Amino acid sequence: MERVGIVGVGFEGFRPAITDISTRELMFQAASRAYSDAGIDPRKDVGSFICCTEDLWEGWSIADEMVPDQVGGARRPLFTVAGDGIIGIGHAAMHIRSGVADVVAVEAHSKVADVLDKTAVENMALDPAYLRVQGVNADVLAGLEMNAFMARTGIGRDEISLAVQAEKRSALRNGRASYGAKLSIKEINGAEPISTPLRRHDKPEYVEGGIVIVLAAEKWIKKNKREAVYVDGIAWRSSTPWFEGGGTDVAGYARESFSAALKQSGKKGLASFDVLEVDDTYSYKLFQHLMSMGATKAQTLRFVEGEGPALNPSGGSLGAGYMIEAMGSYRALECVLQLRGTAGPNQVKGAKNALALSWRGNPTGTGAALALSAGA
Amino acid sequence: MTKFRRRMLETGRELAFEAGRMALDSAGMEIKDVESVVMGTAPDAFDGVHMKGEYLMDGAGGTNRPYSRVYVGGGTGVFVPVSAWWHVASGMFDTCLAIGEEKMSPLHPHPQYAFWSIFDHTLERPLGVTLLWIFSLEMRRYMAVHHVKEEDIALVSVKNKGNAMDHPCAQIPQRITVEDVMKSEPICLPVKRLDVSPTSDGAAALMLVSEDVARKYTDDPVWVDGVGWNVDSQYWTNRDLYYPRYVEQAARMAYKMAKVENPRKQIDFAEVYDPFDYKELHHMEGLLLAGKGEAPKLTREGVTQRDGDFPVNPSGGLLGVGNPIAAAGTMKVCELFWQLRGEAGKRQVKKEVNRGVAQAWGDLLQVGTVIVLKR
Repeated sequence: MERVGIVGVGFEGFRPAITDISTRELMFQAASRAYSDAGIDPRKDVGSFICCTEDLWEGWSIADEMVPDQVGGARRPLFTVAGDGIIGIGHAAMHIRSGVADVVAVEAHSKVADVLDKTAVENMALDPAYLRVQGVNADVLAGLEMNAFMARTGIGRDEISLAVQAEKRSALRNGRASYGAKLSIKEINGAEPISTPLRRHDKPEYVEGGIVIVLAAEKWIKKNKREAVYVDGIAWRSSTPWFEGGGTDVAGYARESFSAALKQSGKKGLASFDVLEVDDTYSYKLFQHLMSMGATKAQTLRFVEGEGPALNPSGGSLGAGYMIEAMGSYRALECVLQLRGTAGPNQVKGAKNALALSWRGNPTGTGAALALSAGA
Repeated sequence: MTKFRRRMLETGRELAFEAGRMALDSAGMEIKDVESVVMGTAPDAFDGVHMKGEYLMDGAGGTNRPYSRVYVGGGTGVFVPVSAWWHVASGMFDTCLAIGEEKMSPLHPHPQYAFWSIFDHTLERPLGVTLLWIFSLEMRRYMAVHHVKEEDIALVSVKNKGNAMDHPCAQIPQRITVEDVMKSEPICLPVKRLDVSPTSDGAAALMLVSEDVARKYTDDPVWVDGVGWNVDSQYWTNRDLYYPRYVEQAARMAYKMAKVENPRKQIDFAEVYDPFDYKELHHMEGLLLAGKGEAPKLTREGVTQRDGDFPVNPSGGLLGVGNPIAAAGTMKVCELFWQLRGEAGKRQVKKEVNRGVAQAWGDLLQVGTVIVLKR
């Protein structure tokens, strides 16, 4: 199979509300920077364009229609994946490996401050017959699962709060993060309850941002003498969409997608990576995802305490903010910057291998894993 | 494929399941043989469900598999098997189940309301514009540039609704005349009731596999010969609507891959997207199956009839079989499969066919999706 590399990244925003530019302008800014970073002309060099979004977040039916102009994709092969940015990267890898294109641009964004009632949108994802009528929402489901997860694994409130504390602190040093803070365990444990045991600091705040990632075939990279971060493994999986039927101590989508990506990469386990950017859409999910990827409880706690691979040095979504379908792209972006050695004050020294794991949030059981390595 | 109907009692999940099950039965395969699933379905607003792909997942067989939803508006139906093709052609999967599903009926009082929110919020929505308005503009422009009469366009509706009489899943098969079309209720002139396809519920599916797997299951596979897709600028007001240049671009991409240099000679029949009767003519020209302005003449001369020299929409098309948006395009690719295998029953075209093209169209007059299949 053709080896695929990331040759350009561009981003804009990562603020709670971007008030001076529109969604289209946000996409344009991110795309322009990515193309400049890759040293390409999108009208000549990009063979296909992929956008990752969902209609109801956009307030726009068939949202793919408003994508082409500002990413340079008008009258070109372009489509939308209704999914997370890493799933979009998966489709880009398939385009390159099937010969559709040598260079592919993947766009994802969050302009979520424009959405007046975000809970109402999230609630529309609940099964209309079985869940929506119960009056529950995504946070209620998370609270239930968190409770069960803590009971089954024995992971306690203080341990989870330690992860929240570490991520918020990392975010203080990351210029791309909006929610850095110096919090005590007592402050985290005593924060306003959302759906007990889920509390205010266990859930990220929304943030706006646009990210474009440019991928290319290895033969194109070599021919055009570009630097690249290589995709060693990429996989996406969906476990059951029924909340009632899903596991609580193990997230099937994380286990399966990580396992497939790991197999492709030829690596042995989480310890093979220098950097982990793992979904933390809720604080306990960080633990659940690590354990689903094979870490024991003891290993998970050690990772959280700073031993082993650097865990969410960006601050994760708890520290950087939650970017809906762009969240996977954000985690991938942070991995790329780490492997390039340009992550800023949170740079992990000598980072050669990185892993990003994403989840689409409640009520889905869909996630994706991306294993990356520094170019060689 | 399931039946296409105005209101199906089955849920979207059930429709997806039924179509997927039939595709697996047709291939002689089981769900355990499915390595990946790709789902096509158009606006979430139809169902009132956010993340509709996730909602449809278990019905589509996506549970515990790599599953994703792709879309390009109305072009999605043909795009789903295109996406399944790259799943397999990339070498990342040996099999991929492609399902197109649409359930338009939950939206009240009419599915057209979902289309209000496809327009630009600043420039277009305040005008109260509807899809039927802009299609009538496009139809009028096509007629004006090529001096086409409404009666010539009506012949497409007469043909396709007649062809659908032989389709067991068809929603509105009818024997009608040009006069019936001309006298039908005006909607947004020149578009009249019988110029337009209905709103529908339904699903269709195909199983795409690598060559090695195909040889294990059948001696008579149908091959994907070429794929193409293209999305034009959203600013539809800034281009001449008489010709769908984005369809031509998509077709050229597919023909290049299929090594088709003269589509009219190297392709034997076509399933062309026909949500409106004028669109069949418009798209035949965009697909380079007719010269600009030539499609009405070919239709008038009977060339596009099922027993004609170049059959177009032998299935009955969207005008006759129905138009559950994403499923409608997938239905067209299913028809290519059945025709190429000689399994189309009463719909089987008279001439021998070895290569066919299917196409769909969508968004704001801006998407072309094309697939070429070969026996």
